[in-house]
Amino acid sequence: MITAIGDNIFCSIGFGTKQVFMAICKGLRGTAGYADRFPQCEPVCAALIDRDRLHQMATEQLQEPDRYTDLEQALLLSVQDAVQQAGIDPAHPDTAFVLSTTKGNIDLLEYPDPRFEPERIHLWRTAQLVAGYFGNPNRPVVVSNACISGASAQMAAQRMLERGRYKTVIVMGGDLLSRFIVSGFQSFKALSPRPCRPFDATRQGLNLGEAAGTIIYRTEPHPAPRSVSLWAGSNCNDANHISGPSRTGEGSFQCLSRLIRHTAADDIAFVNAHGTATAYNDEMEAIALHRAGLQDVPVFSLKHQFGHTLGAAGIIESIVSMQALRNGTVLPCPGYENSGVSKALQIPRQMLHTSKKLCIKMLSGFGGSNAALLFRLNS
Amino acid sequence: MYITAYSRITSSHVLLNGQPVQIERTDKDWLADIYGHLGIRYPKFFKMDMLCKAGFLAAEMVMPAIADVKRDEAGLTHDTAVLLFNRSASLENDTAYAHTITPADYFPSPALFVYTLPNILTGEIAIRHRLAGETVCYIDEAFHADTVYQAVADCFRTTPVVNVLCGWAEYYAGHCDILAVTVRRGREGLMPFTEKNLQNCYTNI
Amino acid sequence: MEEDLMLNLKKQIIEVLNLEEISPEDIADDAPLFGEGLGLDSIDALELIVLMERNYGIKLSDPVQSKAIFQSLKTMADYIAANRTK
Repeated sequence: MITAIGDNIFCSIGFGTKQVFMAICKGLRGTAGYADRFPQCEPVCAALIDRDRLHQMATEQLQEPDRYTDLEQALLLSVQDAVQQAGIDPAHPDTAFVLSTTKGNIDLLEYPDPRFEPERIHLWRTAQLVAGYFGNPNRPVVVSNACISGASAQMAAQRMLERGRYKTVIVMGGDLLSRFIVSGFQSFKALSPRPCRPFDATRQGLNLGEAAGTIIYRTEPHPAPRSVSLWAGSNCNDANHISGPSRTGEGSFQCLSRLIRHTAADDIAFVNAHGTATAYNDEMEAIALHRAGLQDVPVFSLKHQFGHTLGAAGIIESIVSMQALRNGTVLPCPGYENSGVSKALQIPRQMLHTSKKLCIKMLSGFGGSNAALLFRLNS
Repeated sequence: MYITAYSRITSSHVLLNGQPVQIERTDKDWLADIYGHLGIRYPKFFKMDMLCKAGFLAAEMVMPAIADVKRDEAGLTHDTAVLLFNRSASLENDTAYAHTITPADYFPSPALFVYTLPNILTGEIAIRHRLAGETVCYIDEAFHADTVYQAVADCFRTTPVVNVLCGWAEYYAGHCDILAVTVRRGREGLMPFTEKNLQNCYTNI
Repeated sequence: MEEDLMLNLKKQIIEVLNLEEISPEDIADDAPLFGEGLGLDSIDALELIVLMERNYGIKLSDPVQSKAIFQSLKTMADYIAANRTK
């Protein structure tokens, strides 16, 4: 088990885990309509980071901010905040970096920038620059595993720490939107023109979102009270289709059942689903939850507030889940009103109190991938 | 852990367990000729991008080494993981997709967009060989045997996995560089799974 | 004219969907495109929507309506003949 000792969310709603969590509790969301933000693309409802604010923060808080792309700036600011909270030395040889991203600086493909060399489009280069900024001597690990990248990155961190080679792992994730990404999702007809409605009967698809997030993990023999640990993770492929989820929720079900072996359904405070609000994903997750015996556990999605932040999703949604555990709350699922899935789920319409100490984060992604993480609140 | 099979596909060579494989050339492209040589019938192959085609073929050559794996009623195995590394992610296909969204000729292609993620290769392999276990794609600046070794060893140490298909799957700007290795828990196979042996599988062409 | 459209449509579909081992003669006009017949999937359906717009200027936005149009080559060709703007 590895324990989170610092974290940060930087997204459309704001900067800083506490601020973002409070905003979510107040019912705020980052999803909004953008008519012509991406040339030739249809109008889109997305959750975007305020780029002016990003650049201003970078100017105020980073050394030589102009040397970095927007994504790199967001990652640097996120990591910096988490590092300060955790009070660790990111340059220590016992510390490693892991990056979770699906497309990195892909906007450079269409809009090359003379400030940035051709290698900047490579994900390993982004990871090197961020780790290097903090003086870290180790080769960073980069996970690009579609929308479950954030879970795969945390599982990689757990294995690296339990191997004993490192004492601290900084897990960062980030993706920004571009014409490349938006046009592609539109060609899939996967997007909703309105803030998305997870599990709802009128759901029309997902919203895309932007974010950077960081979780710093350590192996703590005596975790601090109210800290949260990653107990276990699972990753299972549907082996069915490269972009559509399994109709029987095979991979998700396998992930959930592996985690449940560690505990009982009754001990789980909530499940934070992937809940992208596409017709197939939400139906698949409902089936998987039922097959795993978790149909009575409260379940919600954060996609209405954050949008689908791709490589950052597994990171920032895990952070919110951990924060909810610490606060003894089950978050509601805005956008949901009436069930639009074939299996009944317990979807809260308002915040609930809980004294349970475990929660599960589910994710699914292209390539038939599924993952689930089990978090525990330490007393 | 033991290596039970390994294959190598580059822009000019194909090897299986260190032995060159002679590919009969036709007027088709290199990967289509390898497909023809393997004598399989898998129409979905022709929908794949170059990275997936190359990785798929390399995996096809080594997967007989896990033929005895346990499968459930649906024919799925839960005991085999796929951990692949590459340098350029899906950049080869990303470039092809970008051509379908030029301002003057804007018709984004979903068939190309679906391959703009490097882990789709692990998905294609999982579908073909009915692998319902862990699938992960990592990105690295170059093939580093120690990094690949550690990721695989970690997987064996922390999960009940019996086989891992691992390797390097790089395809960019016409440069094809694939290494597929099946590793099995236990002491039976071609050679022990070590950093040095893994490096040799990659280097010896 | 209808014959030309049918033949061209078959060639375009084979190319756009990478149906490598199939030639126009293999595709029966009435055979189902999805499920059995050619066994196309959801990504193929989306790619056919792009083909309709790029080659024939027909914009399809309703997936339910598209299902009926893509029932077979014949239904596709009929719809194109009636609605093409290119």
